[in-house]
Amino acid sequence: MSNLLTLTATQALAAMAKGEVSSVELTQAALARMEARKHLGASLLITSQHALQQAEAADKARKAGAGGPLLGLPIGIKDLYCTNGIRTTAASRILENFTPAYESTVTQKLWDAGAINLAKLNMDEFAMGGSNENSAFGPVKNPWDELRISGGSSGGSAAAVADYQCFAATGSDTGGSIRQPAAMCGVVGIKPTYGRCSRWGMVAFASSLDQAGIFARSVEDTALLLQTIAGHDEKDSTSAPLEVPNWVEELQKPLTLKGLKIGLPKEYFVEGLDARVKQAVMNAVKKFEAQGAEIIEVSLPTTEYAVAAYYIVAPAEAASNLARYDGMRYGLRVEGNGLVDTYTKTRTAGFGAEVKRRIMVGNYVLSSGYYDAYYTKAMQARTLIANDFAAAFKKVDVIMAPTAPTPAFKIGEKSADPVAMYLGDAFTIPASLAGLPGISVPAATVEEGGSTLPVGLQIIGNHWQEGKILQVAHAWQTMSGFTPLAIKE
Amino acid sequence: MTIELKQIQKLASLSRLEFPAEKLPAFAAEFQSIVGFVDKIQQLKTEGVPPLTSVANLESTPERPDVVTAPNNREALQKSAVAAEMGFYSVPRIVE
Amino acid sequence: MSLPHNYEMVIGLEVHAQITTQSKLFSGSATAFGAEPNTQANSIDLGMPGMLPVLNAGAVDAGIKLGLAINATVNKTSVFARKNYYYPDLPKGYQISQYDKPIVEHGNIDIDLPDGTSKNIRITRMHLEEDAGKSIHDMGATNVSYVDLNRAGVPLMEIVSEPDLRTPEEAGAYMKKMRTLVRFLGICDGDMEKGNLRCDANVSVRKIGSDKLNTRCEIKNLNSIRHVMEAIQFEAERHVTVWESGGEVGQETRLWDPDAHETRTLRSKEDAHDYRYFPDPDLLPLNLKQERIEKIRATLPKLPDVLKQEFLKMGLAPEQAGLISSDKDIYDYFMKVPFRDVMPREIANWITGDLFAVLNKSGKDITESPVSPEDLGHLMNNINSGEISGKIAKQVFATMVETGDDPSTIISKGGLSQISDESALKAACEKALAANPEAVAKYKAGNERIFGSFVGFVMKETKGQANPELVNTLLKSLLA
Repeated sequence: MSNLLTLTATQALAAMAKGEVSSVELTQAALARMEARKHLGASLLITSQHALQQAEAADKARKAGAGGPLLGLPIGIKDLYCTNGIRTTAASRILENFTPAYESTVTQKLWDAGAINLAKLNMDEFAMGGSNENSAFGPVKNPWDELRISGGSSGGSAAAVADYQCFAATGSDTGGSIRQPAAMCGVVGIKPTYGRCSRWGMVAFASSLDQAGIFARSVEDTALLLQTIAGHDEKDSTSAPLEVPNWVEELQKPLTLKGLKIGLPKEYFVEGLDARVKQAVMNAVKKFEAQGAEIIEVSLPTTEYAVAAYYIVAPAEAASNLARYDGMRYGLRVEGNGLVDTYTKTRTAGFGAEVKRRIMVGNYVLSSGYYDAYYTKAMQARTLIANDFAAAFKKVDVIMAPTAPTPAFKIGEKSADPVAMYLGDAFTIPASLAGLPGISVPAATVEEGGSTLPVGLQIIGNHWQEGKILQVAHAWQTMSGFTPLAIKE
Repeated sequence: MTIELKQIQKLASLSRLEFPAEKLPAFAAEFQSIVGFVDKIQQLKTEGVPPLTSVANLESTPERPDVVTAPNNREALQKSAVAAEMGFYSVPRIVE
Repeated sequence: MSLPHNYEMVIGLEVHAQITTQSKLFSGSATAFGAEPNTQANSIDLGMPGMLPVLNAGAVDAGIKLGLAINATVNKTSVFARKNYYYPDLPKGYQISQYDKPIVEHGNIDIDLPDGTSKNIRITRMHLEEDAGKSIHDMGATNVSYVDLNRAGVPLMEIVSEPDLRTPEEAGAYMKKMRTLVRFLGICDGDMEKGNLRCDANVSVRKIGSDKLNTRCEIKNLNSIRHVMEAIQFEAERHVTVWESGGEVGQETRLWDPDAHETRTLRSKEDAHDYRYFPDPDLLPLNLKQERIEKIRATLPKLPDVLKQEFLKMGLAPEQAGLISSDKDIYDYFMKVPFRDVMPREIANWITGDLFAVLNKSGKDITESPVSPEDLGHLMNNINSGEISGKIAKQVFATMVETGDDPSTIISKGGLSQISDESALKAACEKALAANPEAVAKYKAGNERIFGSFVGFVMKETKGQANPELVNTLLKSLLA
């Protein structure tokens, strides 16, 4: 049964199409594994009954010759996507008992395409974190080494896909929340261009940065699911009115690596970057070079200010976005002595430490007298960062860099030092601030403390160039020789 | 920039959050380290640089026609209500 | 009303006008007044997780209309910002408003003062924003309030004047003018009772002749013109008392209590909110094309100041021209009266005379008039064509009010048509002369004034229905 689960999404869909396996069989296998592997903490709510009903309907539709491109494919959903009638918590106590009466655009597109919802997956509370230790419902353990973090904030999604609990999963990326856990769990994770996917029904963290994305074990699967969830949505004012290319089809065409211009930003290969990670990325770059790609050093001079800018803009937007969790209409309410006390008690009990930190920082940088020094300045930094990338993309087709400075660290190792934690996003944040698409694909494994741990290669593209980074990532996956995690029983 | 406890308390009240007295100094230290870190932005030269308005590359914020598209859905929406009575949301007494 | 000790008032008004759109500013919920609580509040209005705003084009058009009507700059780029504060009627914890880049700036209007003069008042800005919900406190349990979010998200225009107003009367006139303007533009119902037009007043005082701006106080949420005027007068007098006693007026936000007839502190400057405004990242800047602005300019209705001039040219008395051009309901009635072009002045007289008397007596609004504009026009035409006399018309009008019948029916039923049959009238005239030989003799001796008595006789004979002009002609030829 387990080998069914090691199929890629594309293979599983093909097997169903040939009648070799049914959606119900796949779904049952995935649900069984999810239950058996609950100790990893990847799932928050396993929607067994709902999944089996969907799977039965999918099998019926297939017999009738109907159904979309993901018909019968069991997947997991980051618990940040509102699902109609299914509890959605954003891994926060304040939404512990919240059941939306509406469906997010991204998940609706997945169900319309025939996908099966296995579970709502764990994450850092309100997507704030880089280790998944900030979930109100416990951390997510890395399937490569259960003493280590899965990465975050979409840690549950990365771990569930790496651990063969589902064929793919949705994530969301604000400053690296897809790419970084993908790197740490040895799977593929893509964050498309800001505006490519609708944010409607995604619990907001930082509106100007949040973007939906996909985790899968192959680049091809990633392309398939991304083209399903992408597209213009009139309900999201920041969604781009652009046609969605057929990326899966684009991957079928062979990519000529000869003449491909790969940029290496010198500011990313600096102190703080683990030597083994650097080695892994440089090995990948050399293989591309050997295939005829041109390696060009580029400079993104504003990079050193990116993390600071991010930790001004994101908390500011978050402080405002999270003001709605006040105990008045839905979610948690802790009755206090009168109105103001009820607000305070509710929010104090409902939010975890990191969320509180960010709300406080956000209100600080927005408050009267500080706004220009922080918020305006950070938005100016974003302009400069976007300009840096624009200049670089005049010279190169894609930018390659490490996804994270280190492999997964141990649970608890950095939790006492928020700033050290923030620096873990240093390589993913700049692309987020500029709204650019980025993908993390497994580069290699490294040995640490007796564990084999994956390391990610990040490929950043220009606006709307998801097709390009998918092609390059796909090319890498075919030549990397990366050994994925063996399925554990 | 050093942030005084008083200012932290003011921010907490602005945020509708509470930090128990015994945990406040530890929080203040953390907060100070974060603000100290983001203060790095002050070193960036930004004269004449326009602040980014949005990375969404659109001509103008989209507009929808003035049409009612949301029918009454009170029953479903109030299923998740903390406290609703007679169709109203019931909240702690508001005193002006 | 004036102030003691040689003080004058410095008043600026912030008018909040609810825009009459079908749907809300950022959601597709309905905006109808008086619906069951929370039946017009969807997941966006409730501030539910993951919900996003999309701007209502109708509200933007209304904003452009107002900007053009007050001779203002319609900004090519305006930005929606979040105003952050906690209140149970504010579901998201922030109000989407416009802050440093409003849609309209630098306008002005002429206000009409009771003494017949007018004064130009500058308007600083107008921005678009969403309304909050409503809280009800005195219902059910004593320790709870009830929140209805039907109004949450309804589009508002906040129109901010310069501190150009000097008296409560001017403030009242400004409110009246603003109400007239938005109603003629069709962008707000202007019904202060329903709260769809309300205002905050900023009041300070200074010695006449000084150009100093003293500390001002803001009086929130004034919902009738009378309250605006009374609250300003009270507040200004309070300031004078404080200054004159050697004290200092503190910057405050205050509330008007109409029952106690006083303003009270809501919050002092120290407690002022820190709204932490920043551009709403869920929306982009609103960039308007000149084309769109021009298109709207071309569809603007005629506005009160222009209409007044036109009515004067049509021959209406100044008072009537002012009245009809400043009240949208009276204007609408007037414009529906047929034959308006033929006898504008007469029609205006009837509306402001006979019709208003009837309305006043029954306490009705002109929109509920028992006499339709169509019927009134036909009645006027009956006079004009000689079908009935002015005197009979009054009688017909009274019957119209009573029965709701149209004038033709009443005239024909009552046989009230004017007699213009020459032979019938000739007989009556001959009878009049034959019955008054002495008067005939006097007339022929040169006393022309006695002619009226013959006319009177004929009128009496014909129950007032004789055509007076024809009677004149006939009598004169018989006497010749």
